[in-house]
Amino acid sequence: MSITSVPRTPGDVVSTGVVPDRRVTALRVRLRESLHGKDEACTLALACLLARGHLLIEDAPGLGKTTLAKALATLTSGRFARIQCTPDLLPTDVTGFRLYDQHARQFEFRPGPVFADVLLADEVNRATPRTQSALLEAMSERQVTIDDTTHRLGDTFFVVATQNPVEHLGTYPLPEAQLDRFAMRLRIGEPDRATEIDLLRRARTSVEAASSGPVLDRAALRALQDDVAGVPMCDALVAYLVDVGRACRALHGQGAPSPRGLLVWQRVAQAWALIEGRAHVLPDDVRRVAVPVLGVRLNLADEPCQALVDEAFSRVRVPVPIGG
Amino acid sequence: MILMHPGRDPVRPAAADAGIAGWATLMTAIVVEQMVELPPDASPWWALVGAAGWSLWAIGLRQTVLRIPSRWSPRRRAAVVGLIGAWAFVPPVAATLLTATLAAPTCAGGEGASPEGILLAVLRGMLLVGVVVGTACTQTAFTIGATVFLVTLSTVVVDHPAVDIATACYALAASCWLATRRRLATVAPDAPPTSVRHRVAVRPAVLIAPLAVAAIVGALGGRHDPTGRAIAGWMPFSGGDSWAFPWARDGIGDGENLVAARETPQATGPVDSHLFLTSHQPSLFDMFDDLYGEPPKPQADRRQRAIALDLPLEQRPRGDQHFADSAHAGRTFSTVRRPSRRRRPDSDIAARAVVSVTGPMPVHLRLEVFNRFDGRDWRPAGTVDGPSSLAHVGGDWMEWTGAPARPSNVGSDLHDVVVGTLRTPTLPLPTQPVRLRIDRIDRADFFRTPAAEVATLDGVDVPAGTTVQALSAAGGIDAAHVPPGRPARTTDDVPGWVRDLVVEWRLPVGGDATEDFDAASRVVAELSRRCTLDPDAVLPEECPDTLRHFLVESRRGPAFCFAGAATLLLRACGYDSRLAGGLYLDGSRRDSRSRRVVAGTEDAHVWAEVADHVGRWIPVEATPGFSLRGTAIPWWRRMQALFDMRPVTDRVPLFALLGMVGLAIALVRIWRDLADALATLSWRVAIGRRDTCPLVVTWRLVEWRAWLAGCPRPAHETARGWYVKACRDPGGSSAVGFVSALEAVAYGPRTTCRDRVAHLRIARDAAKTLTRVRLRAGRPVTTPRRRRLARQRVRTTLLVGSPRDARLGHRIVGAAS
Repeated sequence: MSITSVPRTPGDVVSTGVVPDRRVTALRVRLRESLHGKDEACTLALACLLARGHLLIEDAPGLGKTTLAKALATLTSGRFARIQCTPDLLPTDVTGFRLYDQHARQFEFRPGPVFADVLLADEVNRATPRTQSALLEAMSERQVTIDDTTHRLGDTFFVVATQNPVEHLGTYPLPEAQLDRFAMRLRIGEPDRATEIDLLRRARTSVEAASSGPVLDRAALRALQDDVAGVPMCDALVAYLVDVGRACRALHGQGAPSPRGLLVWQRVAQAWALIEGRAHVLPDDVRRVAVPVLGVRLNLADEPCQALVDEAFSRVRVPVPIGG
Repeated sequence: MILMHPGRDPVRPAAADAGIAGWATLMTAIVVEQMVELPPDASPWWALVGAAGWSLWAIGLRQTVLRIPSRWSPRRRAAVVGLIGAWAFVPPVAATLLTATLAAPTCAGGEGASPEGILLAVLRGMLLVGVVVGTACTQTAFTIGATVFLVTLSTVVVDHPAVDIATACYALAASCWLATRRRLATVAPDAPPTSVRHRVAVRPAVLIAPLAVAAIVGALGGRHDPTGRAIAGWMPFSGGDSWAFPWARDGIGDGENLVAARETPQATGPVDSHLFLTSHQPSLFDMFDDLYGEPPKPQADRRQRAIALDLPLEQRPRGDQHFADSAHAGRTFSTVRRPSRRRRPDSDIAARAVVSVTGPMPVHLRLEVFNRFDGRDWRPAGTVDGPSSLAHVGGDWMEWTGAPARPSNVGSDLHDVVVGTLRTPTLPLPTQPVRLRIDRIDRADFFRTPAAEVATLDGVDVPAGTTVQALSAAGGIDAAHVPPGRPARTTDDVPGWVRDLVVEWRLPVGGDATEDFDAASRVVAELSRRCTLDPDAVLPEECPDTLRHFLVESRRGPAFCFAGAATLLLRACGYDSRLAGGLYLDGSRRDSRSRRVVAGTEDAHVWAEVADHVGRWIPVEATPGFSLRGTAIPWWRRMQALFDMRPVTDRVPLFALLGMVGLAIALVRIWRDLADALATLSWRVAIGRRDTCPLVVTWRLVEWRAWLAGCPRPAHETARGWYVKACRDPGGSSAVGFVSALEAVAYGPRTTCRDRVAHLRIARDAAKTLTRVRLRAGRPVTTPRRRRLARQRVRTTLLVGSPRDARLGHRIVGAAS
């Protein structure tokens, strides 16, 4: 029994007075329909979007990465753009460039795909470090500077980058500095047999087409992201998060996660609490999003990362204000 | 009782086993305990040997427990662990009890084990069981608690420098152990989190405190300080608690100054003072009067008439000659006595001791001998106040002339007899004495020998405090044992009814019967079979022949009846016999301070003696319940003696001990229920207060119940995670609602705590639902082997990754273990 599936009871309502936001619920349901059988991945991706982070999906081709990114864009009324990263991809192919208009005798700015609301950078590790670093500014600063001109990106700009964990030949692994710009790392994973059968049945009957369509507009998305920032987190819990982060840092030995990583971790935990319908963050929320958030920063395989995070959590006392 | 923290993780691998410091703690504690079991003259190194043996025994059994295959069913594993636990308990305890019970009589301590010895042996057995089968948490708590009590009690019982050293070693080892465990549990090598590092170490502090006290009291010789005495007063020790033992030295409420009798202005009692020791000096006959009752005094006119007539002793009217109420009463032992008013022994046995003895027990200290019996009174053979038959043989040792040659002192027992309040010129010597020694008295003409093997000082009483060392031979004659050698024959006349009785009892008479001591042993056996010991029995005053009345009619009587009857019967059989009076010490009353066996006035005793062909007098113990040194007694008689030999008042400590054991067993069975009930009662009181949050109070109750149920919430586990995963949701939806509401109170805004009515309802539902039984039913089963396998899984997982992951894995596993 997972924590997220604990049934709602009158005690919840009495204690919190908050039920899940209808918009979030609808967004979550539609996202599940888009990526059938991957509820956890969908919820984490949604938490990443609401936390104003960026998502790195590390998985094999054909498991629904593009589908997930497209669904996020569609459901939030955002513009979707996709970059298929290759070694010959130039920074201007990402950010855009200035083109000289002979008729108007002036340079005209042609925005790149980075100006979309949801950007899918497929196989991002195949792009050269120069191109990757071009994406860096866009992700962290939400702006692009071309020829001394800074162009602001949208408030809800969201990058979904993918990389193949198997093929490393001819790739340029993302450096730690750039990995730290992502909020979390996900693995979608292969669906089970029943899910695949259901997937094929849905494709045959075009069920997917019927579920397409936005759930909320960009303003509503911005409002939700603002709500995430307002989810309260008590001081003891903040100290708990910091202690666990420092324990991870001690075990890892290379400085990760950074303070920026802890900030992102806190925000994602707030987003998770909002998705779960709570008005406050719990230690379980911190723990639940720890591996996706810390995994991208510790740069470890899944199981070692899980072991390290578990060990770090086992060293820190949960700040239950009574009994222990 | 030491309680574990509810948040303690029972599956934490950091301190799964004791380690060197833990075993050192156990071993040093057992060393201290073994000191109690050692004979006074044994080397302390034997305690180290014994402790090493039992520690190795425990280590072996512990390793056996850890190697139980995990594929076995839980029931089978539990059965095997229980069996191993029994092996950890039974052999050590049985060895101690059997050693104390079946040991050669030369072992000090006498028959049976003392209550302190039994308690310490049982406690040591429980300690070994806890170490062998306990989990990581229980090992620490139980081991520390048990060893502290073990060491403290042992330190109180034994006063020896080696105990002080062992106690200091124990305190050092235990402190190191606790500190090591604390470091392993909380301080990781790689910069631990701040909240962990600065956590207050409450439990180690609580545990180390008694260790420090024990170290101070034990190692620095503080047991005579007020602190040491206060601790000793709490120990169930016969020398420290007059409620447990009527003859306890340190009576409760006496005050330390009274007990110590220091020469200080605060001293209120002269318990140990010289004045007290010399204020009351009973003679042997006074002790007989106290024990058996005073002889009837003659009427005044008849007495005056007898004195006026100045008749010879034999011509005075019978019954009027002697009345032994003081030392001036003469040296006659009357068998006609009035009922005695038995006094309850004083609590200060050491102060009123007539003598105190070290050496093999039991021991008969002979003071008087009687040869002639006129039907009512025993009288000495005559005034043989001649020169001494003792001769100086080197050093200060004096030896009886004409005694059979002995190859040095081999085969002899050495006793140190310190004269206390006893007023007598006779030296209290053990039976069959070989040599005696009084410091710096090396001249034979200082002594007189009024009878064979009886020595007195020439004309003066033995001063109080005089130490008499004596070498004597063990052995004697009782119903089961016959010494080698040939008896001396006698031609003394005995009454006709005695000869008739010998014929009636089919005892061998004369001739071949006196070629050995078999007939003497049969006399004792017949007396024990036909007659009953009754200390309160009184022979009729008008009876002309008291022993005939005893042997033929009543067949009940005190010890002097058995001894006198045995003397007459032995004479009738042809043996040269006599009656001996003195003191009998079985070793049961020992002064803890001096480690000496003390004798009071109630230890006066009478027995028979028979002569062998070389003139030695061999004791014949015909009184049931009394034994002779050097004669093995069947173990069932020794065990029986533990329960039956002493009067009821003396058995109180044993019953109290049995009651304590029963109470302890009962508490072990129900203490969880009791603690749960107390916690629930406390919850009911707290939940009604307006200033407390009902959810918080209820959560404290739930955590306490979980600890009692054996599934405490680990410190790193969240409330919901622990409840849902570890406890497998035993409480249903209401419990989940409780956890949710609690989380809102704990982590949410303050406004969520305002709905007190709803919170009260949720809290009450949770308290009803989350019972200890339900929590226990849902607890996960963890074993040391499973925890070890979990660590191996982590290591394997990390080692299959990149070399960097492998290095990281080593660090994680190293930190975890």
